[in-house]
Amino acid sequence: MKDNKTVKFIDYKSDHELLKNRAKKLALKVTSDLTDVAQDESSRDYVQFSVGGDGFAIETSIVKEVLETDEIVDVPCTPDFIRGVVSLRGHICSVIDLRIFLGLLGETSASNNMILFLSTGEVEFGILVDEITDVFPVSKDEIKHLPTGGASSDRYSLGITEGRVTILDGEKLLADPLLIVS
Amino acid sequence: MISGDLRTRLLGAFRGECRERLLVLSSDLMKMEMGADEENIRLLIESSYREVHSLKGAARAVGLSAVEKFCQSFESFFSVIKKNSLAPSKAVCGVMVGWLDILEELITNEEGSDSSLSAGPAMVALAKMDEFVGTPALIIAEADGQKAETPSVKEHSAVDLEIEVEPQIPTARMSMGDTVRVDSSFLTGLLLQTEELLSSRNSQEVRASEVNKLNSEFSEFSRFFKDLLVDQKNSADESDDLFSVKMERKMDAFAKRLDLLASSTQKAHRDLSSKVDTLLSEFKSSMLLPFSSLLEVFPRMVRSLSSDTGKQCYFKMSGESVRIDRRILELLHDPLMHMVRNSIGHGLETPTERIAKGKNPTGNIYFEITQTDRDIVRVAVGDDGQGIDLSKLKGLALKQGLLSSQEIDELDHSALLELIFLSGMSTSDIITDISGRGLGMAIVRDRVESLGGSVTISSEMNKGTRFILKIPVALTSFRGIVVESAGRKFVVPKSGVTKVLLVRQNEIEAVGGKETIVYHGKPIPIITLSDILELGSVNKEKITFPAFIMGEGVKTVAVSMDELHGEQNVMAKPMGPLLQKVRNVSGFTMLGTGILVPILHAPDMIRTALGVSSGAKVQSFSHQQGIKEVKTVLVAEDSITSRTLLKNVLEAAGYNVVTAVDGLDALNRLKSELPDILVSDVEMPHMDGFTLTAEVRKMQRSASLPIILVTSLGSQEHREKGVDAGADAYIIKSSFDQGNLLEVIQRLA
Repeated sequence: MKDNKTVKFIDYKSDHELLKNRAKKLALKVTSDLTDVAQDESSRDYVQFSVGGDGFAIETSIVKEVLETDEIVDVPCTPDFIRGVVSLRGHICSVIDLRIFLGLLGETSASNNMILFLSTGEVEFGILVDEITDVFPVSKDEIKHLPTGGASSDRYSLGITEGRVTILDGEKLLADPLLIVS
Repeated sequence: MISGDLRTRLLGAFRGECRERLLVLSSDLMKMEMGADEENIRLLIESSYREVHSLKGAARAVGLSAVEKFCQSFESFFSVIKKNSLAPSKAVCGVMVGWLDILEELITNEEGSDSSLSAGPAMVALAKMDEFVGTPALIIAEADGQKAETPSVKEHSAVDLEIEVEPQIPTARMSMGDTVRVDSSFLTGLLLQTEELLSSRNSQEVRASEVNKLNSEFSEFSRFFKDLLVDQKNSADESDDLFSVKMERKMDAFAKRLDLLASSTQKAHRDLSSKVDTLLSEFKSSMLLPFSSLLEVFPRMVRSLSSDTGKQCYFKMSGESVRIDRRILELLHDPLMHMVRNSIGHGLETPTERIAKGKNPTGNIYFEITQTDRDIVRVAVGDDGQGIDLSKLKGLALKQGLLSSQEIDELDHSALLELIFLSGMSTSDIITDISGRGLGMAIVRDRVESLGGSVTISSEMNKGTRFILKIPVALTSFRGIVVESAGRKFVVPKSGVTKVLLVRQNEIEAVGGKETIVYHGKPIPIITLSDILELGSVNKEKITFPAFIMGEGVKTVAVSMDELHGEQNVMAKPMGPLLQKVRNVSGFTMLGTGILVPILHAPDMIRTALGVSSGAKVQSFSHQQGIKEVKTVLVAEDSITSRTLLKNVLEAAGYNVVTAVDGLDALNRLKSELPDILVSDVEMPHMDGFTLTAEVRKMQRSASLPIILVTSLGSQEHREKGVDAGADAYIIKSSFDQGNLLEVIQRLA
């Protein structure tokens, strides 16, 4: 009899509609869900970190986790920017030295092996960072576009905040075929 | 309305649910028909009512209104029975089974609009339900009353049943049998998880030996401490005495517990490892499929392809019952398909050409599958067509600038054939130039090698072409040799290594700017692993170093490294999305110690080695004259097999080895020249290992010589006897593997 009650309850038109919408939303694929949410809001959260003395920020939605590891295993015969691989709970994950990939000048502090793991579901890798400095919301109009000088670091830059933090286009970075070693 | 992706997924889930619910319903109805007591009938009705109700809800969710309506009527029918606590008569039960068939039909019917209800059987069934609901008495009435109508329904259901015999529903019924259909990706996932247990097992092994080591170190320490106490006792006063007694007791208790821990850890390790091994091997064998499951499409393909190209072809297979990992089978599909296509398209001649050559107009294409080894399957694929035109191959290689004309002249027949595996040879214009052999052969080789296999080719003009593939039976776990170079560890698949040698610095000769050693009477290039992997040279000053002989024939090279760390089972992990193809590296693995190391790709290494060694790079400084002292090991062992094995193992690890055939012989050798370490068997003629040990200890100059006893006598008593005699280590042969012994030697020498 309990069943019947539930059925009646759902039969209320508005509730029915509500639940249906919820069900739809739940059934949506995660990626599209993320972009949906992201587009709705004008301000998004960014993780701020430093690499070679420069400040960068990347959207929290693509940051999977942060890990401090003792050992990154070198992979022979790979480009310089591939710093190596680490085992992330049994899965092999490449670690990229953003400093080399973006052609930055500063030095990565050798002592700190802090890795920021980025993922879009399909592609996934870690980037080596000196430290995570902040997580803060940035609205679209706070990002100031800079005239691009053609430097490789500009390719992934969405702009710069007032605090001189370069906002990186994480999805573009993740989708970049240049990163794939084949 | 829900649409698209969501609907498809919902429908999938719905079908699965229906299958289960219909099964329950039909078994309920069957039981009802068989007759049961009142209480049981009530329960069955209740269960059926619930199933139909749930089915109705599910149908509504996916928008199959016809199913929903039908279930609605069905449900009210059951509710009438329920309300009046009726026991449906046999005839009515039969009618209900008929309805179930109609329901199945409706569910199978995808669009599920109301119109499908207007089909004959469904309409009759609905009317019937209404009638029953209107006059419940009919439900219990035995056949008489409805005789006129029941048959009509039954007839329909009978028709339905016949239709149903073919499509999906039977599988639903069969799934209750002995076999279960499981999604293969689910099985693969399970296997991967099972394989993860291997690393648990490995680390457990490391932990167990660590505890053992700790235990023996502690017992040594406590022995030392007790000796100290005895010395002190004479001089010490009362309070000190009390303290030492207490201390001694504590230490004894601790030692006991540690010993217990050590043995239980050891036992737990053995337990785990036997369970994991059994689980894994059984799981793996469940993943094995016969080749026939892959090859059954081939005869038809060959037929249609040969008729398309106007050729006559006879296709022959043998050994298709050989079983192999299904994942490998899947990966082999494309390469095999490709080779067969090549054979038909470019290997076989047209019937007229064949007759002109004096051949049978019908060509042959064959597959010969044999299991050559426990872990290796050999697949020969070939044809008796025109073979590969070497002169055209040469011309093409020249044209593509792959080789200079001088280099080509140096190549022999088989080396020339190898050219077709080069990706430069697989451009589309070759198809016409050299009959297409080569298109995609690079891909074939890549695929086969990535599976840990190899592919070789032989071909003779006008006789045919034959490819031989050697493929591992299982995919992920293989034997690997752990090596070290430039301070980093790597794993080299054992299958890629022909032989392990110990190379002395003075055996290396520079020939034309290349370093070479003599192997089987022929000079072969020798290259350091760090040069192959571009690790930069970290020169370890050594006189001898281990080297692998890799490759075959003209492609034989020696690869030298700094250290050899023994052999172990290796489970490969894929490299992740970013590293799709890295030269020389095929994956990663977790060593027992939990260190992640790259797995090297043997064929790539050979190619790199040959490339590097023929390049301008002069290698003469790679193997620098070293000053590191080579340790000498005296091996006393009466069995020639064991002796040779030990000698090889130790030499490979960089030791100078002197052998003795028994204890007496060893003692004599020892007297004439003192080694750095003695490795001795226990059971030997003339003088056994215990006596030898005791004798060696007696002599002053060898009193502190490290002695390792290697034996099959594993009892505690023998172990103690060995310790009493003064041996430093006691290795049981059953637990004896190279790594273990080498580690002990390294520690003691």
